[in-house]
Amino acid sequence: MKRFLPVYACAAYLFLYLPLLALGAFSFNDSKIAVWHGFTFDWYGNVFRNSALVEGMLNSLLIAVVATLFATLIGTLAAYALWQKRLPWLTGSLYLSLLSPEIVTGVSLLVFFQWMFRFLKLQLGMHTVILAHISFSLAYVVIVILARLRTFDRSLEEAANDLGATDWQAFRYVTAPLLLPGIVAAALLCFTVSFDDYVITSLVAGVNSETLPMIIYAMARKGVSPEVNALSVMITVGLGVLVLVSGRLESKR
Amino acid sequence: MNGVSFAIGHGEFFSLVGPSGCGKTTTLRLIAGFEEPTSGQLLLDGHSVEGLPAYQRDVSTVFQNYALFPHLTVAQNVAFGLERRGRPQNEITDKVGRALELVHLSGKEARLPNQISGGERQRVALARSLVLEPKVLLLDEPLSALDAKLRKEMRHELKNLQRRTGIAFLFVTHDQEEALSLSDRVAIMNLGSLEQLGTPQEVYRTPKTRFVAEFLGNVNWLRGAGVRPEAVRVSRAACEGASAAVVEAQTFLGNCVHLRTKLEDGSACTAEMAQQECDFQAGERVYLSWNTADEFRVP
Amino acid sequence: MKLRTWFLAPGALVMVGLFFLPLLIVLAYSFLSRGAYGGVLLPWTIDSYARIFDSLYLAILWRSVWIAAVSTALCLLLAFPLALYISRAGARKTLLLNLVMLPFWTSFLIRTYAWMFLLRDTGLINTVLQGLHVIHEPLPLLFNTGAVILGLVYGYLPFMVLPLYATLEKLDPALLDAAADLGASPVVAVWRVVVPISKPGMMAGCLLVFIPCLGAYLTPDLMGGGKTVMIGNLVQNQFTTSRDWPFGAAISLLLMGMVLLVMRVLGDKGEELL
Repeated sequence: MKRFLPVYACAAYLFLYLPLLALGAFSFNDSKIAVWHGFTFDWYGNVFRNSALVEGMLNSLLIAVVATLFATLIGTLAAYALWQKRLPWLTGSLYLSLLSPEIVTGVSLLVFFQWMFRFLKLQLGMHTVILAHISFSLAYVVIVILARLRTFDRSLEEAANDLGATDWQAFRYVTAPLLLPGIVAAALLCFTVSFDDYVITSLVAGVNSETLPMIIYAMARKGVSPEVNALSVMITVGLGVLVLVSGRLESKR
Repeated sequence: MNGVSFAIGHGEFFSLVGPSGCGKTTTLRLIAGFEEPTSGQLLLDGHSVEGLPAYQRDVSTVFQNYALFPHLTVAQNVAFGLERRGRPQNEITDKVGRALELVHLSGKEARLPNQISGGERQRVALARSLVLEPKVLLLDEPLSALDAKLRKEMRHELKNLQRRTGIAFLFVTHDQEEALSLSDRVAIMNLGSLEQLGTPQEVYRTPKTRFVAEFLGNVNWLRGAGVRPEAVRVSRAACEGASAAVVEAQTFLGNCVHLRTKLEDGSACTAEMAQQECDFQAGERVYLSWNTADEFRVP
Repeated sequence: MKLRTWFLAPGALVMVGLFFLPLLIVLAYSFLSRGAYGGVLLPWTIDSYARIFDSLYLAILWRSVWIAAVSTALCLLLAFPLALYISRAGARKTLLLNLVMLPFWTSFLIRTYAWMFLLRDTGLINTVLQGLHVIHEPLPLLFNTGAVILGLVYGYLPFMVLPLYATLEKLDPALLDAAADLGASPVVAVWRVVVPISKPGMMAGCLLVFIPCLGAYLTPDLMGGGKTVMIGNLVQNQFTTSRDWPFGAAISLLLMGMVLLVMRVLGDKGEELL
């Protein structure tokens, strides 16, 4: 048993990382098929020369940044309020939004937007995607910030009040600064979740706003291509770095 | 809490003492503004303050765990209240400097709370509250987190501080020795009620209830009256009004000796005396007497 | 008004406006009739719900439950020893745990794509095996139910590891010593001591894996080649090619109902952990 567990763990980690490592290795392969032919950076270059890909990347970045800004702000404030006063209906619905299948969320938002458009004369586009992303990332932010707040010493805010700070001032000068690492961690998490989303985005994006996951999906359906390999590696490394930084901040005191 | 009522005078060192759960911390929080009373009045300098939030009351609290802001330096912590009042920067720097001098922490302005000792943190908490010159300073068991020796030192410092600033202190503690040694007046609380209020001498020498008597020190209950061990004289010679007793054991406490005896009617009595005075052996017949002025009766 | 009411307002607004309200509209749509080019029309009808009982759709429902259950069971079996190992790894615990979670947080789509790269007929595995002359023709590793299950297990394994780890980490090692002292072999000790104690973690993990598997869309689509139709694919279909919104709405609600049911059954234990 003592020997089995470490061996098993090794195999498990290999299982987890092998596909990504293989993808990474072959993104440098100077060939279109899965036979090693030589080292090249060509595919990476091709990614940036592909204007559709670049546009998709920019769209995804824009959506992720805007959605993150709003979701982090709204979520932090909501988490703070929930810490002050428990509201089971709100926490419950946040958990539900986290657990409900993306297809259901996506469909409900699509249906909602189309219904609204009867009165508003708008169409699906970047704005609907951003709204959708704010909606489903909110729960992530609230969970991260609430977890931070649970370890927070309440007497600090009382002390602030005692010294003459209003509730807002106590939040601004005491709680918020101490919460900052958690807020940044939540924002980074939000960004990765938003950047990677396919299902919900594809349903509410409309015709003109293709995001990177939508393009990758279309390419993946057609077949395997080395550009997608290269792109995948770049995205994985990029998001991976964000996640690592976020983890560091979350555990920082 | 049940009908608690008392008044603190200007510049008074007032203690609220009682066992845990007696309501002393709740009382403190009511005065500070962290809790609202279901009924009753709170008057500060004649003005009613119940209903006012904590940040509008001219009282300041020193928390049990000090509640120093970890992301601010010592100086910034002390300056916090003044900044919220919008005082000009030079006034703030000046007042902060003087407050830190008052608590003997000059030179540590730039340190963070986690870079100073527990005793120093407590002094920062004191400075932070005192710099605002509140009408009353509320101290919630400020010495309980310190070790015994530091605690005794800080007691003197606190008393000095109170005298120098002239601010009324409301000192909450479960340690009766602290309360008796520091206060101008003491209020003893139990199970949400105020049992007795008076000077330390009054409450110690003439407790009004059994609880107060036993809380503030040891009591011998003899023939319906209470007598403190240190008031009991033990001698081998009988005298007028003395009670006969047999020595059971003696306990050495360092600065004194407790002699346990048993009277003829079966009740126990402990006498306190200096080590030099105690050469009694177990089983010896002795005579106990005390001044009737040292007796007290409780309902 | 208290500060916290102001702070709560935007979040509450988002939840009501972008979560509850849309679901309400889905509910309404499920009782309407389909429009010619998508969308909905009057009259009100329960036709959509009636259609669910068609054997074709019941088969899809059953297949989804079955695939989700198998995937969850496999996840549990695979995750347990791993979580056990990490929980006993001492100082490196957090690092090892982060290494498990890291892939999950990068990109689900890309991780699914990576398996396509490995499994397809011209993929890495087949190429290597053919190159080594182990096989002469490519194995059909992709575009079948097995591949879908593999994709789901791979995708959601970290979600099973995390709650299991949380429970196992609290396990007192003295318990295992006591078991050994009383004569239990390591395997028996694990089976009779560790496993029962980790029940809450297992329930939480099953909750966190079963639900996304049930509502999976990407994995059956990409790994199954569109041949393995699960509820998620069926729903998506109604809003794109089939243009039968009321039916899609009905199935979405059915899926949501199933999710709520699972949450009820597994949820009480799970929520404590979350």
